[in-house]
Amino acid sequence: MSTAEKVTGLINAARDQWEDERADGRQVITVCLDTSSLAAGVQSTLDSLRAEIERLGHDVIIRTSGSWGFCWLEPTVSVRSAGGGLTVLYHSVTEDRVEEFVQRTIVQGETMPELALGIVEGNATEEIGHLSDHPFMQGQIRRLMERSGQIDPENINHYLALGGYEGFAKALTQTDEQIIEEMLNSGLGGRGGGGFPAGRKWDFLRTATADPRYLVCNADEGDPGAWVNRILLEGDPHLIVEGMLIAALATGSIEGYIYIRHEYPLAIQRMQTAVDQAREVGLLGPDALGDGRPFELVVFAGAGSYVCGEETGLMSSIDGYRGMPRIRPPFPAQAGLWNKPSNVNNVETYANAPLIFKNGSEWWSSVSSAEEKGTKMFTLSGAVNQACCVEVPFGISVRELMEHYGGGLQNDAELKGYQPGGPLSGLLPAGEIDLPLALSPFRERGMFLGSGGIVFFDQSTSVLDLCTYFLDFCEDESCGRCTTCFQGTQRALEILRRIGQGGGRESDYEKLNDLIQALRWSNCLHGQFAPTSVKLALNYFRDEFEILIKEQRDPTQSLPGLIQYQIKDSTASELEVASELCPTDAIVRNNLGWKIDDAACIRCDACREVAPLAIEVRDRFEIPLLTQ
Amino acid sequence: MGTITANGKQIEAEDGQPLVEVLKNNGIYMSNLCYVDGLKPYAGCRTCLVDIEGPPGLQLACTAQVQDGMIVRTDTEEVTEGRRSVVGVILSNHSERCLTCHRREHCHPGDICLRDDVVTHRCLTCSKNYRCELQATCEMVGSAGYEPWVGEERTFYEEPQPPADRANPYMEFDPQMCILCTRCQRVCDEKRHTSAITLGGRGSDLQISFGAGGTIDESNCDFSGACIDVCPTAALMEHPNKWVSKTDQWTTTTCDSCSVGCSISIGSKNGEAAIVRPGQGNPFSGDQICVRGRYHYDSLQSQDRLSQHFVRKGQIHVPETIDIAIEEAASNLLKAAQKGPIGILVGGTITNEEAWLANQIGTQVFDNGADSSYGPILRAVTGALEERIGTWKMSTDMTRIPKAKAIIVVADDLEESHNVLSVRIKDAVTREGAHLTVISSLRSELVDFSKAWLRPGGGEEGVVADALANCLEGSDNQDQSIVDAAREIQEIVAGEGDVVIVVAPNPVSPTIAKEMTSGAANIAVRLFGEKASDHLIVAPPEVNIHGILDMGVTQTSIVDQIDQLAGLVVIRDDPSMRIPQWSANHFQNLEALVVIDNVMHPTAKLADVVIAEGRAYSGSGTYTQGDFRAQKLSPAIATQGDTVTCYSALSRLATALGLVVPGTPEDALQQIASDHPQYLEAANLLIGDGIRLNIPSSGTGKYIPLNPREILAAPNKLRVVTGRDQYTATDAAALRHPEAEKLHRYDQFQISEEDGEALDLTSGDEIEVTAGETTLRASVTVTDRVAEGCIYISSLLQGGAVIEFFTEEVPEVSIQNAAVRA
Ligand SMILES: Cc1cc2nc3c(=O)[nH]c(=O)nc-3n(C[C@H](O)[C@H](O)[C@H](O)COP(=O)(O)O)c2cc1C
Ligand code: SF4
Ligand code: SF4
Ligand code: SF4
Ligand code: FES
Repeated sequence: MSTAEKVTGLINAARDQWEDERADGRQVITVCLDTSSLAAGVQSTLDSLRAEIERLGHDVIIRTSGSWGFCWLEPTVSVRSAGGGLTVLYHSVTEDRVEEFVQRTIVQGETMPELALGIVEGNATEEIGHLSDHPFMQGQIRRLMERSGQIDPENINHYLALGGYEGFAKALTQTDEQIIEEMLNSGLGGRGGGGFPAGRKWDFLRTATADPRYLVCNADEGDPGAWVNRILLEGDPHLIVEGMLIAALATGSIEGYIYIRHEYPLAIQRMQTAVDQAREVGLLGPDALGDGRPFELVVFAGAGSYVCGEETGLMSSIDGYRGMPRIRPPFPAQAGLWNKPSNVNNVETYANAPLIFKNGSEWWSSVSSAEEKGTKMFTLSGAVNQACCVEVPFGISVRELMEHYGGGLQNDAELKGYQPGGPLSGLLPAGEIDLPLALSPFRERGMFLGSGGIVFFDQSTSVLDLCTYFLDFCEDESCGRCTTCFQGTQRALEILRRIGQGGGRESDYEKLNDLIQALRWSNCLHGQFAPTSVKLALNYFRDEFEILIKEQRDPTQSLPGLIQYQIKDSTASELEVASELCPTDAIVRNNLGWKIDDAACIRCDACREVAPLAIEVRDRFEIPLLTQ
Repeated sequence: MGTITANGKQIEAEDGQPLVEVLKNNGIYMSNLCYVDGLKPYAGCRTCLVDIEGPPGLQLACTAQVQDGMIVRTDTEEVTEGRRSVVGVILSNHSERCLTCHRREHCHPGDICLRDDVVTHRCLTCSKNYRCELQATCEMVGSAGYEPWVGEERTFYEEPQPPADRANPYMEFDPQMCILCTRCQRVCDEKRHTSAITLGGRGSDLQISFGAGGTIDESNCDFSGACIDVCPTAALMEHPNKWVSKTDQWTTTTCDSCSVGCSISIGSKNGEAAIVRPGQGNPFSGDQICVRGRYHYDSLQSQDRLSQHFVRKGQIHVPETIDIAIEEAASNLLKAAQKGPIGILVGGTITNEEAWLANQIGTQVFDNGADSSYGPILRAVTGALEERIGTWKMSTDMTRIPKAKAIIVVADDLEESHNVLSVRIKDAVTREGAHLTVISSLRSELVDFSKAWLRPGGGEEGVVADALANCLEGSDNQDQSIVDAAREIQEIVAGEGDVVIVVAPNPVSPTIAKEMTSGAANIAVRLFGEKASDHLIVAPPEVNIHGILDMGVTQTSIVDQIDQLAGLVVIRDDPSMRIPQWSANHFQNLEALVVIDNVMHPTAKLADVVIAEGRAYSGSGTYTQGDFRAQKLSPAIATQGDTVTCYSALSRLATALGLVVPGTPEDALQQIASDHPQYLEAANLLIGDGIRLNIPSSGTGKYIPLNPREILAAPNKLRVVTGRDQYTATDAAALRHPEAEKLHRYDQFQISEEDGEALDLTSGDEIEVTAGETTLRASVTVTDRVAEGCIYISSLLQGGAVIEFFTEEVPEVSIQNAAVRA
């Protein structure tokens, strides 16, 4: 039996099983269990669901799945009716709602329109529309996320039954050169941020002169505000196994490492389960690729440092060294893991390969209006109403992301700017909100679109605060090789902190520019791009810097070093409560009335929250000459 | 070969060479604060920016490789600016600002300087001042006076840096001075294979640390100081001489502390040795030396050294001039010669010229020859070799070791006794993947690098080596590890991989030394037959053992004549401590006892005449070390007081005894060369790199089994194992340190963990060790270094006292727990 036949056999068996499961007749509750829903308390929901069902003695199947992308509405739970006529997805099924939820959806077998997101399976009703008609789903093209939420990520048969490993089966019938050609035709670019054509990278490894060869999947996802990789790892891990199998066919690799950041324990566990299951059915192992060609996968928990996400730092980390980005050349395709030829791709890059082979490169690349082909997953966070994960074609505008999927800004606030691309990138002003989601517009602005995280900020955010945060991050995460990087970021951070304390100087512009220049000479992108946020801010938010430096004033009134809390109305009764709340006892009363001791005040804002009319925030340094 | 153009100058260079080395070697200044010649680039300091035509921006010269036709500039505006800004960033976390001040030399600590700073920091008060690479770099990149970060509050200064580590006698580490270039760490790793240093933390928590982060002496650092040599700042400094910023002169000469014979460079001040660095040009030692080489220069403090000549008048030694002392010595000896034979003994650190002269006196004046306290051991070793290989002179070149594919070591503890030899073996293992077999009862770090550690009981190294030799012939052995090692070695030989066998015979027991040598020779014979001499290296205990043998010393056994001797001349040797059979009575019965030495050792105290010779390193001459490389010894320091060089003392004595001898060592070497043509080339040697003597392959290889020796382990007794330790009492430069005690590792007995448990002893307990008449007392260390059933007693413990046990072939001792220390 050829390997392709073996895979087809597995698929057929899985389909049968899937059909059996569906014909089972019992009700099915599927709880989305991922890191986002865990943060929203899904564990309690799940526990109470189980307890409630047991209490009622109902014979109901309870399963878990990955995410649907409705991260702001977790916990999401779907219910399949007895007999399978109708499956409805609900949101915000918190612990306190479980009892009613079970009562209505299970015991009485009706729906709960007030919590329904949409119908997944079956016909739309008057009260509940089809899920694909939900505004959030409209315009999304869900290919990578097709199965996430619907299947049990810990069950290989679910994946196999719903189109899984079909791409691999097709690739098995092709030569390595044909696979590369198909990849090149698709135009798939690296999703880790660089956008380098994956087919070319694979070809470098294919034509490498040494053996053995290794594949590495970069799942270190270190950018704050990005969790697209996690959605796949937790929601549909076999997609990555399959993608790496195809890459192994193309490149002649014998082993792959999936390097997952250690803050993703659930992803590590699900990925490990997927790998174990694939091994059990022979998709991994001594004859994984057929003709006696082995392929193995190792799930590797990351070392917990940002630069371990840089591909050579990642390889050093797997090799057992300090996770320091290496010096190039040699490039990974010449000397990577264990100094052997290797290829590193992002999770999402590998995950696209099965789609390309299952449906053909033409189909795959047909959806995008931009130079970059295919779909891209994004996670939106920050000041938007809806923190979520979406999959859209390249080319739509950031505005659409923000307004349509992000649901606009909270409290209808005014946008100050947005930040794609993680800490090595920077804040773009609201004026740039119509940029299309593609690589070049951001590159032209000296930054990155990055791997999918986009964070939105409203006018209350201080640009200095952001820059300080990013530089602090970069300084902390510097691997320590380059003097420019680990000391240059220190210097820049100190200057920013000083400005934030009201100590800005005219000479700071020159100092910061000097540092931007010096940091250019760093070894890896971490050091080279560490000052991007400052560089962009000095360009786009120059006015704010001018005020910060010249007037020692923060227009957003959010920097603790530049504001002061003062009593506005000394008679207000809330002051009593505020004084008790103040963690440092800074609000005191003497015979003249209430007073805030500025030296003691830590600007926690607790007092103003309870006494908004009695306490006001003012600029700390008043320089009437300049402001008048 | 290609050509590159650097700043308009044409330079010939090999394709693929690191650009930074090529530029430096062609006189183009390169700032390169993290690069270490010969190691892979680290590219951390970012100061080696250059402009290479083609790619945009600047490139690093340390990662760039030479390509034919490359056009490089180091003098463009962009390069200068780039380097300046990088150096500026480096300085921003380095102690204060004199570093960049052009007025530095005019200021004094405590002054208020022109910039209104109190002069307390940086170079003026830094031990590295005037010899600091960071300082020089600032000057060369035009950053003197350019310090963009002065006046900025820097987090670096807000938190106090960890305190300096000054807890050991050899070296200091002051993290505050560290610029995190990691040169030390990489050298410790890649050149020493010790890996005592690590870079830890990220961002502002970065730091260099030793071992698990404690003090240096708690780590596995062996104090070779290789890290000090490469540290561009004052972060790592030698302790004894850290304040020696300027020396009068540097002299390249040869370390006299073991038969590796590393080249060293001695920096001297007012005629005294002040600092030692690895010397240039030695193809074996290269840029490495060990703790002895670096710190032994000052082996005795000047007050302990002889500065006068003495003649005995009754019970006391009276100072005399050299002429009177020589006259007295000569007439005493000639008188004594009327009554009986006169013997001459020489030590292992005298030069070839001195040994030759001593032998001339011994043979021509006294008709008796010259010997050494090491004589019994040396005769045992040379005998074992001659029987099997036809000669004691092996033709094997030690520089083959780093490239060898298999290495077999038979030694007590090569790491301790011949440190740099051990480093080169680790080179072979780590760089070439060489197969290493270690046959020694003691565990050393070398064992961690071995593929096979065949651990004999104490003193049975030779027996196990012989067993290996037999397995190489196809015999079987109960011990599967010996069989496996033999098979693996055979495979390497079959694949034509180079194999080198190293034996370092025991320095105390002739029986054990003979067995070790015989076993190792048998291995060579089994593997290579007639070509055995091309694969065996014998590393004797002292630097010039091969030299004194070559000069004819030991051909007559003086040691065995003790009952007949009427007179004795002892030259840098101390028979009362080294020959257990010689008693005080024997010395008393001598008619004439003449000692030439630089310390008043026990034999000297009994002498009629003591002629004070200058210390080691004050004379000139040659050494013939382990693999017959003739190395030059050049005067690096002055003779002290009335002393004369050893050669001068000997030639005066010879003249007084009526012999016509060459007046200088150089003339002597010419004469040696006429007797021993191999020395012809050495006679023309100018500097320290030395030259290998032409030793032909012997063409003989005969397997001879070892003499059977019954070793029965007596119940309740431990077998004595001895050897030479790396840290010696004479590293006196370091011993002025109050914490020196910590490193007196040789001052303790060592026993195995098993015996520690059985005898209820823990480290630090005081014990008495007894065999026959002899009892030694010291504290004990319980360690896995020692095999069960053995006790290790250093040959340095209490001035060599262990020798007294060695009236037996392999002595065994009983142990008394004297008193448990608080
Ligand atoms: C500091 C730093 C952090 C990075 N972190 C990640 C990461 O978390 N995930 C990732 O896929 N790529 C990351 N990258 C990019 C990788 O180096 C690499 O380009 C990518 O994994 C290649 O995969 P692709 O070609 O599939 O995009 C990072 C790069 C740098 C410089
Ligand atoms: S730029 Fe920063 S992170 Fe990158 S190698 Fe240099 S020090 Fe490490
Ligand atoms: S101690 Fe010296 S050699 Fe080591 S990293 Fe610091 S400055 Fe460099
Ligand atoms: S290895 Fe031997 S010759 Fe070399 S420095 Fe150490 S003692 Fe001296
Ligand atoms: S010498 Fe090139 S970066 Fe340090």
